[in-house]
Formats: sequence, C-alpha cells, structure tokens
Amino acid sequence: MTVQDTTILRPIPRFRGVDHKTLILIPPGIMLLVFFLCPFLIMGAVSFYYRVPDGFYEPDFVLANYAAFFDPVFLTALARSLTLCAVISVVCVSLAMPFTYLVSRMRRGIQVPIVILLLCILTLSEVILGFSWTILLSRTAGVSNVLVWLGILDRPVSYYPSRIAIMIAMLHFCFPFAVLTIYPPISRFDRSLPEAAATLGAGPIRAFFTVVIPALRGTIISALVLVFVFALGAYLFPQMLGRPADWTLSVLITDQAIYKSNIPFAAAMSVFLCLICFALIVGVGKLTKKSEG
Amino acid sequence: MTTLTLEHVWKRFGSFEALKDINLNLPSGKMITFLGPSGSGKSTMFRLVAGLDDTTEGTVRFDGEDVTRLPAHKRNVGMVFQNYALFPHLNVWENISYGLKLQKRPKAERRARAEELLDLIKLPHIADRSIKQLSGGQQQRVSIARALAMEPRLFLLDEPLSALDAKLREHMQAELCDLQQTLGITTIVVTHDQREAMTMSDVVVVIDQGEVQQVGSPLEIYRKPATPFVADFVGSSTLLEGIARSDGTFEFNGQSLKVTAPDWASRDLTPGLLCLRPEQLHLAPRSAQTPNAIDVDVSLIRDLGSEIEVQARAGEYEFLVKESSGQPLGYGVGDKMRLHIPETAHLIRA
Repeated sequence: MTVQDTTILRPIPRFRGVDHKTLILIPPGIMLLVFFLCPFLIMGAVSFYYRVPDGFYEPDFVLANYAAFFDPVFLTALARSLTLCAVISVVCVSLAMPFTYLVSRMRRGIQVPIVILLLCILTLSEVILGFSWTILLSRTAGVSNVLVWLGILDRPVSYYPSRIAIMIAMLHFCFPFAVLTIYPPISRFDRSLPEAAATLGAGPIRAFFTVVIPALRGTIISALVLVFVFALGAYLFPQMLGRPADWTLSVLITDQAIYKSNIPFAAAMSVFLCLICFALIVGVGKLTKKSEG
Repeated sequence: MTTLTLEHVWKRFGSFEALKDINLNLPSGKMITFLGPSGSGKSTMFRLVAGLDDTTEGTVRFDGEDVTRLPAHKRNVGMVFQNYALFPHLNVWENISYGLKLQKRPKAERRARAEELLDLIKLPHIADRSIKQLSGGQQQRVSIARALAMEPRLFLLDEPLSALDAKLREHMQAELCDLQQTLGITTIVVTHDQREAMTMSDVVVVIDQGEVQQVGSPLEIYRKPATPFVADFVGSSTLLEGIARSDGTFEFNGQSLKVTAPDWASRDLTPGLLCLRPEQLHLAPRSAQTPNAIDVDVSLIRDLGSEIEVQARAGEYEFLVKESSGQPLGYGVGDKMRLHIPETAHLIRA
C-alpha cells in the first residue's frame, strides 16, 4: 500500500534537468522547425543568391534582389496589393459582422443550416471558385445576360478581367472565414448589453454601433487581419480574373519564380511579404492588447 | 412617479402560455416585487414592462398612457440587469452617462450627472476606473446609477441581490430601500426569494404558472394567502383539507374546529384549506383537554438556540411548531400531544 503510494506521489521524472512541460513542446517544435522555419531560412538564403542570366542561380551574397524593390513596377504592385487586400478585408468584415450578428440571434434551427452552407463554400477550392466566377462574369453565360433579360442592359457584357471581378471572387472566398472567426465570440456575446442600451434609449441600429461593435473590437480586428493576410496570399483569383496590371504581389512572385525562373528575386519578394504579414500580426496584437488593458 | 397597469396581458411562446390574462394596477412611488418560482412567468412579465419583449395580447399602460407597442428605447425605463450588463468598452462614468450621450448632451453636463449619481450610490471616487477594476458589488451600484441617470419613469431590477454574498445582500437590500424612498420612484424588483420580497417591498405580486396569484402587502400575503400556492411558497405552512361552514366551523377529519368564517363560506359545505403558520401553533399535553385542538405525535425536535423547532404528525399531515427556547419543553420525540389551532387561522378556498 505504502509502496504504491510513494510510486504515485513521486514527481514525474525529469529528463536531464528538463521538466515534462518543456518536453511536450518538443514535437510541435520539430514540426515548426522542419516545415516552417527551415523553408523560410532556405528562402531567406536564396533571396541573397546571385541569379545567373538565362540560367538558374548560384550561392552568393548580393543585395541586387532587394534593390529591385525600388523599381516603380514593383512599388506600384506592392501598393496595389496592399490596397486591394485592405479594401477586401474591410468590406468582407463589414458584411460579415451584421450578417453573423443577425444569424446568431436566429433560432437554432435556422442557424445550423446557414453555418453548414458556409462550411460548404470552404470545401470549394480557389480553382473552382475562380472558374465559377469566370463563367458568372462572362459575356456569353454570365449575369449580364440576366440584366439584358430584365431590360437593364442592351446587350451582354463581360465583367472580367477587372479589379472588381477579383474583389468579388476574393470576397466570396474570404467571407466564410470571416464569419467563422467572429461567430463564436458573437454567439457568446452577452445579449443583455444591447438590451441595456435599449433601456437607455438606443434603438437597435444605434445599439449595434455604440455597444456591440465597440465591445467586439478585438474580434473585429482579428477578423480584419485574418482576411487581409488571406487575401495577400491569394494568387489564383488575380491571375484568373484580373489583367496583368491588376496582379498582386503573390502573382508577381509566381510569375518571377515559375515563368521568369528568377528564383532569388521571387524569394526576396516572398521574404518581404512574410515580414509584412508578421509585422501586421504582431502590431495589431500589441494594439488590441493595449486597448483592452 | 408612474403607475403601471396591465390589462388582459397574454404572452405566448408558440403553444406555451407564459402569461395568462394578467390584470394588474400598481401604485406609483412604491417598491413592488414580482415574486415567483423560476418558470412562473415573473421575468416574462418584467420584460414586457421594460419593452424588451412584445405582448401577445393586452395593454400595458404607464400612467394610463398605452405603451404596449412602444419599444424599450422609447419607454424611458431604467433597468438593472441580473449580470449588470455594463458596457466593457466604457469606463464607469461613460457607462453611467451613456444615455445622456445618445441625447448629445454636452460633456460637462454628462460628467456632472455621473458624479452626482456616483455620490448617490456612495462610490464617489471611481468615475475614471475601468469596469474590470470593479468588484461585483461595485459593478451593481454602477449599473444602478446608470439605470437612474435618465430619470426613468420606472426603475426595474432583475434579481438584484442574487449574485451577491449573504452579508452584502442584506446591506444592499437596505440601501435599495433607502434609495427608492429618497427618489420616490416606482420600483419593480423581480425575485424568487420570498424573504427578499417580504423585507423589501410595499407591494408583492405573487406569480405562478403565468397567473397572478395574489397582490398585496407582505403582511397580507403572509397572513392571508389567497391560494394554496401562496401559502406554500411564502413562509412555511401546513394546509389542512376540510369543509368550511358559514357558522365558523371547519370540519377536519371528523372533528369540528372553531375558526373565523371567511366571507366566501356563505353556503354550507364549501371545501377549504386551513393555513397554519408555525408561530401560530403550540403544543399541550393530551391530559390538558385543550379545546380547538387535534391529536399529534411529536416526530422531531431541533434546538436552534434562538428557538426550538418541533415537528409533529397527525396522519399524513406534518406540522412545524416554533417554541421559545427559554424554558424546557416538557415533552420529547414520540410523545402524544394536542396541537392547539388558533381561531385566527386563515381559511383558503380550495
């Protein structure tokens, strides 16, 4: 009896002075190292390599790839990407917020099918969504035919390639992610808060803007960042639905890496994109913590 | 000062009838309690008064004015929520003056009003604190201040004391009464705690199964319960089933007891329930030949220090008797005794 007790009460053995809490972190640590940090470091190294004209690349340490950033073509592409993604994330979250709020106030029997429908959109890949939109926005079989039939247009037109087409498809793609990010906090949201606002004289719309939105600030910011980073990484939609002039950074990276075989420059751009995303996430994280504390 | 009137108010959720034909006329400037067990409909009624839910049928009036179709934000009621519902993104004074800000009052005026209310709730120095820095009791006071900021027509409190610990609860109870008297505002408190209702209110509305069981002062409710439910829910009691007669006798178990005849016992042979409260009863030995008494067996004695609780049985009935602890009882568990029934015992129509 006593022997057993001591066995149970003995502290979990330490492994060369490292306790078990640290040990648990080793497997995920290895995963991150192998699948995230190593590729990133390789990419970082490649970004300093020398590109052999009409060839591949050889190890070196040149800053030419980064210097190419100051090329106006690159800078406009960068500005375009950031603006496009910012607009998409703002529009997407502005649509997702009231949508999710209304859904969360519906009966459970209605909520569940809506959430399932959103999950269905997630099962569609970027490729399928992209091709669907090329059909929907086309001249021959697209929505403009419906507008003609309704008498709004004289003859069918094509809505792509255009920046609007990219945005529509990206919104379609990002919307479920935005909704699913804000759904749990909104459904847990204390309903007595808008009710309290009502007893103090705020109508439903004012209560939404003066109480619900500010109280969910943290959630909204994280949804904005998520959609922004997501949109920054998407490269199929701009390529399928946009003109080369509308291409975002991700498309340019693919273009450089695959079609122009300029791997070092593509790597330099990727490193830059990663750093932007990283800075954004850290910055926003600090900002929300500050405002909540 | 507002009178609250409910006329033939019904509330249905699908086929479930949460409120059935409620008719109430409540006086202004009083402390009113909606008392009932959970699921009785008291909260539903409360939310209808606040305008947070719609009535299915019937009319709600403030001072005679029909407000049935007026949404909550146009009724000007001040409400304290059970979980306080303070806005987490605003600090104390911004919370209190939220309603004034909606009315676009100048900042100086809002701030002054908030400080005035903070003085009223005896928390003068916390205006700039964040809500997270407050204790539960402080949060409740802030939520009271916020509810009063707009000088509401009705002051509504949903289970205001349930989340507080026992000591704070008694303190807060007294303070709420003080506050209500100072302001003279018509106040409605929802509670399931009958002791709270008895000590705080001028008028108690007892609700069960979506129906108003009785409206009256706490003493009336306790002394003269209108229905068996009220007698059972408010305080402890034993209800004897029998026949009431207009000559002032109550026939129970083949025995004839003398009681005060209620006005409804006009005809002979009306079934009634005799409501016996512990403090009305006392026990005597069988040999004493006590008149107006029934035979009982003592089944349990509990000495609480301040008083002695005695349980006695007669057939299927169980009585609770409270005896003073000053002198020895003179009897023990298992003794056969006589239970004296006072003539003042209240008769309820069965």
